[in-house]
Amino acid sequence: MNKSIPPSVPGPLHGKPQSPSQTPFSQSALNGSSYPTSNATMQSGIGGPPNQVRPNVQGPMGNGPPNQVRPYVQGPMGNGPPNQVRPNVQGPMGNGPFPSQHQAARPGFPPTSVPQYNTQQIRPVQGQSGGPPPNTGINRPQMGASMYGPPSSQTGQMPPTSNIQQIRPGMRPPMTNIQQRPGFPGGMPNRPPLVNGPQQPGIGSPMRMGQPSVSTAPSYSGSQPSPGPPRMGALPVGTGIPPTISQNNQPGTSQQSDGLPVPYHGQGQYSHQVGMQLTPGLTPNNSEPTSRRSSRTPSPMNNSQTMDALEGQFTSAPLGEQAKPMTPPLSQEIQGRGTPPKQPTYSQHGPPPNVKSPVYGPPPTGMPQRPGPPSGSSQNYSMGTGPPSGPTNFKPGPPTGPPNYNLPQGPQPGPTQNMYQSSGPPSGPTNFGMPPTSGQYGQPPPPPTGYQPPPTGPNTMPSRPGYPPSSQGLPPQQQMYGQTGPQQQGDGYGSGQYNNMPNVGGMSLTDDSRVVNLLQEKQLIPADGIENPKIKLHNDFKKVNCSPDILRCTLTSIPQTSSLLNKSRLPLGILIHPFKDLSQLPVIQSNVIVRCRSCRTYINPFVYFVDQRRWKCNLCYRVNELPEEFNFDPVTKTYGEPQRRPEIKSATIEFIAPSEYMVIRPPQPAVYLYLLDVSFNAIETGYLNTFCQTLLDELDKIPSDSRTQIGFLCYDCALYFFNLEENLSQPQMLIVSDVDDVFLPCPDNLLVNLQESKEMVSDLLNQLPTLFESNRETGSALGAALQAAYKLIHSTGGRITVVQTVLPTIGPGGLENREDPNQRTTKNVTNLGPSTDFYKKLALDCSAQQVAVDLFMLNGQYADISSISCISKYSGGCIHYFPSFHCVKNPSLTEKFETDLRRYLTRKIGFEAVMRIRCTKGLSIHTFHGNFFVRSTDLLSLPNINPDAGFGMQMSIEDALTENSVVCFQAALLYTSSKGERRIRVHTMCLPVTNQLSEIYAGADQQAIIGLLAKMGADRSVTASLPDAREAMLNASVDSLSAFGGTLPSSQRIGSLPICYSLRLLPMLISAMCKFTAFRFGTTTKLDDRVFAMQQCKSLPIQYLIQSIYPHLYPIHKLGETTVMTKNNTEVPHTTRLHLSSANIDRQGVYVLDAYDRMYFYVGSAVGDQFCQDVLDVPNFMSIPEGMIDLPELENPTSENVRAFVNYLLDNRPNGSTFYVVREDSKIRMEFFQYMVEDRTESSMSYYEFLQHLQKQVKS
Amino acid sequence: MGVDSWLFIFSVIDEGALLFLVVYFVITLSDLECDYLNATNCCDKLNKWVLVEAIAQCVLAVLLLITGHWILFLMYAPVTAWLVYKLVNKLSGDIGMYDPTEIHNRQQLKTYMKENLIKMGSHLIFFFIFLYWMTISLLNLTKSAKAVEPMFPPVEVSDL
Repeated sequence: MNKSIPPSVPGPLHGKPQSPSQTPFSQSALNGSSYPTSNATMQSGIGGPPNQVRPNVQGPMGNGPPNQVRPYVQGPMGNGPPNQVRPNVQGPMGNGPFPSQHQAARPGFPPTSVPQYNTQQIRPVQGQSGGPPPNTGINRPQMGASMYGPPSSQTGQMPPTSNIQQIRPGMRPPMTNIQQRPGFPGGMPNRPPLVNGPQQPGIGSPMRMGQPSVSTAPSYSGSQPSPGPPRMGALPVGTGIPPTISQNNQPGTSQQSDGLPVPYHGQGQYSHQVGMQLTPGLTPNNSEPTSRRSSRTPSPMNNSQTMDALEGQFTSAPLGEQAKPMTPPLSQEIQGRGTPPKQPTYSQHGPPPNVKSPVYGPPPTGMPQRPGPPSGSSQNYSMGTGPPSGPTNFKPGPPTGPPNYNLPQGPQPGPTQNMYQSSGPPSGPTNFGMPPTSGQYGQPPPPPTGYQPPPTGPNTMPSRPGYPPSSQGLPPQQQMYGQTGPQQQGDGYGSGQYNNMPNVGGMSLTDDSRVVNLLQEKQLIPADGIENPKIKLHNDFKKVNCSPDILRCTLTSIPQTSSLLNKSRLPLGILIHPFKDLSQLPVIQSNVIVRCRSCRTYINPFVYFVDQRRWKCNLCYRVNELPEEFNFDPVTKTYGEPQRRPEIKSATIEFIAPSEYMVIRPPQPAVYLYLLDVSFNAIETGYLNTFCQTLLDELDKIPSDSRTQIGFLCYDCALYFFNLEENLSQPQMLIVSDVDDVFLPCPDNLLVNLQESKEMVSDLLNQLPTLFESNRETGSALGAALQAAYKLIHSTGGRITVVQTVLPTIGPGGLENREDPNQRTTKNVTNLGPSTDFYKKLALDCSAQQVAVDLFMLNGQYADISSISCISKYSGGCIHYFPSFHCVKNPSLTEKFETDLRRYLTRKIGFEAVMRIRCTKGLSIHTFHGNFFVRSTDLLSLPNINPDAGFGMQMSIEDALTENSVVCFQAALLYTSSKGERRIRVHTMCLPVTNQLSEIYAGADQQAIIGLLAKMGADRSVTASLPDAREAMLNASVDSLSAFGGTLPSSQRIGSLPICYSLRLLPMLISAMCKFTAFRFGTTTKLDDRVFAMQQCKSLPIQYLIQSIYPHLYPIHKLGETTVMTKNNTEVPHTTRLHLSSANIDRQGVYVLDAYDRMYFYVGSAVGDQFCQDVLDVPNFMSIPEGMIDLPELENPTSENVRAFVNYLLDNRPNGSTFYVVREDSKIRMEFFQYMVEDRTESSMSYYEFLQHLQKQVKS
Repeated sequence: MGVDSWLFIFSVIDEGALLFLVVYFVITLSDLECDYLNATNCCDKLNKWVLVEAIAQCVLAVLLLITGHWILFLMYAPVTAWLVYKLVNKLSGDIGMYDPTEIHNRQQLKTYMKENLIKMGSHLIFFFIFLYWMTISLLNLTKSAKAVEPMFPPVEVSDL
């Protein structure tokens, strides 16, 4: 191996006069090295005037620009054995002479790239290839084998700033394939050729380092500051946002949190205490609510409200409030009881013997037990998340427990008499069986405000939410659930959230068994959002069951046999959001993690304690020993019953894993690598600026510890690596233009420690946008960049973030345009699947090395997301898509990009994760949906896990579950936190088994069913075809309708389309799904949009998926008229949800349509001038400007209310959302109306037609 | 020896090899089922042999066709056709026939297992059929050789 370049070498180089011919190039060379633009950047970074810079550059240029070290790697390539090569490579470092034009020199290079470079320069280079160029100050000796013998020596003189090295493709030594380990000893023969002169860091770097400092440093000194200031300026943006950790705590629980340290990790949940703890804060970090995160003006409400930013929701109401009415819960339950007795397992009956009431009795001191919130109200249903005993709806504090609890009950829920007794006259049942009828009609609209305990007892019926037919004439928002009023849910939940609450409002259990005639009832959505079905377990299980936001099943009553399941014609599956940001999560650190010895299930609240020493696994029924320690209650620090353990009290829990859970090696550090597209198109969109600025702002908030590493790699048709070694004075750019056989230009320092090299990283981020400013290269070598990234990161694992703006056409993984724009409306959509297995294979390699790839697609033209997305899909990454992103032309999208990116950068992250889904014997997983790789039958490999990832599993019943009264699902997620801790998060859900078809229907979770159907449909579209998928969805609704009809007496079926209450939205949502971007026909849909929508179907958490399929529509003009939601001390005016039908759109009205990733503020043409003035700051409707993307901040109550509401909606999602003000006559109003999915369009049926169609099908 | 004997000798060997291959498939798949292997390794192993298998089958089918064994060909063709159909119809984005990312989905593993067991059965049957035909053809050969034999001795005799 060659030694490093002797320091002396530089001298000569320096001394050399530049040849005139070179001078012109020199600049270009500089540029060339970094790209034409790079010069500018460098200079600007430096701060020196351009001319000055140029001289410097040129001087070296002859030999190489001073700052840029251009090694020619090529030399080595052809020449010799790998080892020799290396030296060559180094030599090249110094070579200024071969400026940018590698391409020309390269044989295989596509001609297109050439133009950018000065061809003249190129030629010389080529000529030189045989030997050192005359004028280059080349260190012969160093060159060793290199063809370009030239000039490594210049390095000595190079200014520190940016060393740009070009690596010639052709030149690579054969060895390059070999992956390089960072720690590699320099001498290894198989090392990839290093472009960098100094292979051994020790040798090489000093060289460069020293040189700069000597000669050039001074001149650049000015430059360095320059990066600084901008950064500083930038920082405030980020910093202005206070970490909201403390705010996040619920008031109710704040006391406890006060005592505990809340480390601010970017992952708030972690506390490092030993023993069990409720981590108070939720994940703080990017805690800004969306509304504040974006440039959107803060709403008045934001100031005071407590925001759980990560979750994008408000924390629940203060303690007092929740506790408020003790009676209502009861009474509501009572109402619920009204159900026909056929559901024996319904309700809370006496605790089963094994789970004794004492468990809940004395609240452990350490865990403040929150008084049970009224069941109907919106207590924070963070079952899983809250302190084990706290959040359950049904349990008010122990002393207050509802009367029925006290009754000693048989183990199994007996008949429900208790309930009836307490609840009063069992009049309910009779009413419930009936179709909705007049009784409800008379119902007055709900009182607008205030919590009104629902009437109990006999009154139940009248006060029950009615579903008056539309003929009723009541304004839609007033029709339903009057007594429960939206205000209830308001306190803890945003609209997006409360949908998922299990017991929203007064939704009583009895509704489940009600039969709804779809042809008659028009108002199906409760005013306060779609409710979640209650799980009909007995009390003790019910109260600890996992939150439906985290884990839910399509059928909350599991059919006993597969034939029964078939008979119901409903899909069985679970939907998981395992890494959801939680406001409270019990974290346990103990030496033993108690697990079943045969199936490895974690102990959970649903196990059966045979006696004090043994427990019976609820999944495999093995009886296990209980370790002694388990009787120790970490909360009270006393020995007692095992039931006091947090594991038994909470269905969602996190363990800090002891060492046996380490995978072979110690937990990996957080490693982040950013791959940025800098091709012409990318520069055009201007994303680079936004990206760099945002990253710069958030640099301190990235989840990290002292080991965190970071790296950058830009690519167009060549790869640009950045050496960020901390000792350099400027980042050094290394160019590799051999994309067919990628190698790393230098062994280390491409990934650097974030803490140590923060300066350098900031420098780079400041320079990047200008560096490529005038890049004209149109090609994109994404495949090669990914390969290089993989090589860079594979030894540690980590996260690769890719921002891609065009179709990658060059090098490995090159794709071609498969979209025919004329086919956008046809029925048979082709090319939904990937065209190559390149990305899939690479993803599997990544997955094996614990590397995840996240994609940000910013393409305006077709970029084949279906192929590219495979890289994320199988490596556990996530995909973001910003169609037609342009930072000037599409400001709203830019804002969303920034918000999303902020969230993305700062959200919690888990590395080298695996998730295992266990379920009770007899069930098995049929299909997995989501982004991961299924390593073995029930083990998902997730190189990264992020809090926004959702998964779905379709289940099948293998053996009859006759012997079980309940089944359980357990999802265990083992991951490494960004702090290097191994943790296990366990979610357990318990569901009753039934052999009654009617119970299956009553317990069906329509949203989950839709979620699962969407996933199955997305699969089907790829494996079969889109029409097939639609057909299957249609059949799903026909089948379930006819199967349900079959259970009714024929008299009820005639002339109607009956369906049980719990499934009443199924046809509507299916018809909406057929009009969803992923599955629609007729409307012009870009292939990428469609594919991305399908991808969303697979990986969005359920509530957001439902929201995308069936967006929320709110009448703004009724805002505040109706209800006021209280959330954490803040009141936000709210209004009721409307069906998505143009019939609901009034010319006088103003509406907000919230479709998860976009939001429209629709203004009808007859809107009052006053409103325009108050809210939009324009005198009248006519003067509302096109393209308005924000609501002006005005000081009047209307404006404040509207903004508060909009911001509230925005904060209900983790990501950002585009926002458009749409005038009734505006060009984009079609975009708005295309969400009116109940309308008829040329190519699709209206909802009513759809129902008629269904009815026909059902009859036949 | 006639064409037939060579053909059947070859087909017995070929069929024997296919039989081994399919047994290997079954073993590998069941390893995956039991978690002794991970999906990537398993599919890598299998995909290597998928093409070989298809070629071996096709060659045999073509040989049968060429040599005019219509009935055997018609018996043998369906399995081959099915194999080729599967190979041709695989999705463009899939990694080989056995895609590690999909193998645990939609009970594909079970389907593959079933397919391979069926294949194994058919190979077993064909193996014996070909063995039978080989024996027959060799016997015919010896018979005919024997039939010829008498002709030689006289020659020899005459020689003597």
